[in-house]
Amino acid sequence: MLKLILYRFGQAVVVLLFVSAIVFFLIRLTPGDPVDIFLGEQNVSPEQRQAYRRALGLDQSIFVQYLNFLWNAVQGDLGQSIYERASVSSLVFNAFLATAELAVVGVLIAVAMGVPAALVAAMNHNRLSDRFLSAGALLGFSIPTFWLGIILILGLSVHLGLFPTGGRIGGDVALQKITGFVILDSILTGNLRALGSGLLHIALPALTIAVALAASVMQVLRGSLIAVKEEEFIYALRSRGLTQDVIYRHMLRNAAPPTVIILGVKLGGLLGGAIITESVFSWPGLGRLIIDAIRARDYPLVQGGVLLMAMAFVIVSLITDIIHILLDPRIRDGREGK
Amino acid sequence: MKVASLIIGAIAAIGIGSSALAQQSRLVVGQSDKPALINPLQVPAGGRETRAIKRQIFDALVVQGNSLQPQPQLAKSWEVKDGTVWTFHLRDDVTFHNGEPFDAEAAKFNLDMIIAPDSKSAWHSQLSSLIEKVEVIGPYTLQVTTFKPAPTLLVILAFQEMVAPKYYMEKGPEGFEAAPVGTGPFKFVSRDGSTVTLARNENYWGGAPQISELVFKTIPEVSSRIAALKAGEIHIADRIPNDLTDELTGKVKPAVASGTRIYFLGMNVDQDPFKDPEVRRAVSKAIDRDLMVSALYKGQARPLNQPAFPEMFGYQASIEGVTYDPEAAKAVLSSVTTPIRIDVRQADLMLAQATQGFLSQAGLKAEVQVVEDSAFNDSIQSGRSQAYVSSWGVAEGDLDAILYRHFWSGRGATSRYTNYENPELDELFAAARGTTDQNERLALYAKVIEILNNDAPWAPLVNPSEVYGVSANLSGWEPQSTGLYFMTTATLK
Repeated sequence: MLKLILYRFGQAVVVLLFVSAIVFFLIRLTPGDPVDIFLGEQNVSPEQRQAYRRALGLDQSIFVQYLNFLWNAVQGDLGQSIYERASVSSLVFNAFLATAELAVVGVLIAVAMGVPAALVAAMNHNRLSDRFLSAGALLGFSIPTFWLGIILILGLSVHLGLFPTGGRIGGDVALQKITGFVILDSILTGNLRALGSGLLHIALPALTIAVALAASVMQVLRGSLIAVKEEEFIYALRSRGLTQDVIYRHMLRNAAPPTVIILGVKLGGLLGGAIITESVFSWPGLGRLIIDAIRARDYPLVQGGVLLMAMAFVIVSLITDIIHILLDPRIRDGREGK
Repeated sequence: MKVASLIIGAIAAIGIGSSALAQQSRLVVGQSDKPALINPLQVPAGGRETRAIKRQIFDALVVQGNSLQPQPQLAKSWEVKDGTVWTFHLRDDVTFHNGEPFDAEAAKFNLDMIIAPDSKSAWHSQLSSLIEKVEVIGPYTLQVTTFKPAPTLLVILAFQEMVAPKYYMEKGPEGFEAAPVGTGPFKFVSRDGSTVTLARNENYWGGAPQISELVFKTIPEVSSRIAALKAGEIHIADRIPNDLTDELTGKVKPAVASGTRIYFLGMNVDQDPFKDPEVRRAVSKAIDRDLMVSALYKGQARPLNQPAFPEMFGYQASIEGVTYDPEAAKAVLSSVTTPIRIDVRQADLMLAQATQGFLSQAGLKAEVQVVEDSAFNDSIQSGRSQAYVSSWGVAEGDLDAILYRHFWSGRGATSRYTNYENPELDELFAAARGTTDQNERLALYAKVIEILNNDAPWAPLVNPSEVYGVSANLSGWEPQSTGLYFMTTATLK
């Protein structure tokens, strides 16, 4: 186990090095000068322009800039955002918390929707309910997130007035920041109004994310469950007189690995920022931050943001693998997998 | 399980209920872009959205009305002597939000900060090349001496918001950005990411606003912005595109202000077939601008017969200018064999396609190429594009701004655009800059417009209006062509 973690850690470092180099050079090779964008349509003299470039360190050779970046990054300093005048780490971290909260709630809703659906479908394999649920999953897959988000807003926010149209929390609600997660902080500070506001605000965007995710979960889990339920040990358990609930538990545990892997991959992707959902719901997450940074050619922010995305993906990948091992004792004990 | 859902339902009800009450005198504006820095003395200064927020917290010596001409604000009146000595008589009843008095010393502090050699202000280049010195000659009398006659000084001063001097020196730029202090109708309360909250300034010299809390939110996605307006979460939504104005029904309605952007087709005079002014004039004649206005903008735009719109100083109201003459255009263009590629940014694609349509009808082989924003700017600024459709915002409301950036031969290597140069135009431009006599300048600009229409480096297209979505509960507010929000008389039902 320890060897595995060390090995994966080493792998992660190599991956991050590659990612940082690619992003660094790629964004600088794209046309567009951060200083121009920064200054907007102002009539600025060439001397002033040059002074800004020097202040931002953009007048040095690209390799020198890269080495400076690496040197600082290793010490934990990802630099200052050109446009926002705040440290990249704080901007990226806060945005990441917002995205993480959305992703986690989205995954929870997806699991809550997908697992029971998969179970029902698998147990009623090839009957009407199975076909109905499978068709539903296909629909969930195919719906474009952009459209779904807007439809939810139009229906549930504008027409029915049940939910807010965007943002993370009501503008007139004060919440003390402890962890940076709205839901957690409002519980910790006993702020019911903030909790209510936070839950209402996260409901629609999380649902938008959850629909496609639930469809994946349902499809993959249904497949695994159908395979597992035909296994001999299930008949053995039933003949020993165990109740159906206990049998479901055994089935799920054996069927889980592929689903866990898929969820891990998707969660890793979501942590990179569900850009479309964040745009539609004005969610202050990582996806929106990075897109804005790319448009503004805010080099340090793009680098820091993408690096964090890569790190998040690698860590989630690692955790997924660990969970997989825990679920399947055969891998843990070093025996061959199925 | 059931108990949990009941509790969540109750919490939701509390959430919805209490927010409905708080809306009483709280006005929320939804903007399309997030604000940059609020500190007027630092870059990035941002665009319209940031300025709209700044002008709630700060005032300037003068302010532009809908005519774009400077009106008194912190300066009651002014006069010019010998063309270079400006004397401003300032208001004596103004205090900053922190209690500091506004006087000539405070004004001098601000202007000095901008023209200082190490200034980080966005307007440093422009102001420091104009202003020689700033002097206090009385407690409320300020004297500004310019190197040469500077007719654009007043308009530029409309963009220089005044900060509280002692407070600024105490806090420094970062501290000031975190808690800015000005003389404006609203005080800064807090900024959370891109949401800025302001509170009424009870002691505002122009009369305290009716609204007690003013909030600026950023909702970049336009459909979400309209949805938020319709749901009553915001009361004003900016930048509503023309094809979505029909959505503003029920409890919301559109509000329109004339725009300050000139859309044009730029033609590279150094590349075929645009080396020949005859061809350029013909291209201009091939375009039916009235049809563009009615078809693309639903009438909410003005066709342009010259590279200026009516509120701009220098606009010639009585000339015929550029006209639509498809027969004359075809006569010239049908013999042109060189294909034309019109570069355009994604946002202006429809206008470029319409232009291409007209040119094709006139016999030209024209195609449209969408280029990413920064790559597009690179291409036109270095003068590489053969033809392009773009726009220029003239917030200054003076023809000088366009000449300086697009047509004057001294405009520099990063403003090549159409590569147009004309010594006669240069002389007129310099002469118009060299006098503060507006009548003289108007006469000079009449000649400039004639030259530009004749040489046609641009085929001017349209000047679209700005459409805002407004809640039906809001009264006492009209949108401004400057993009500023004058909120002191606004009330919410």
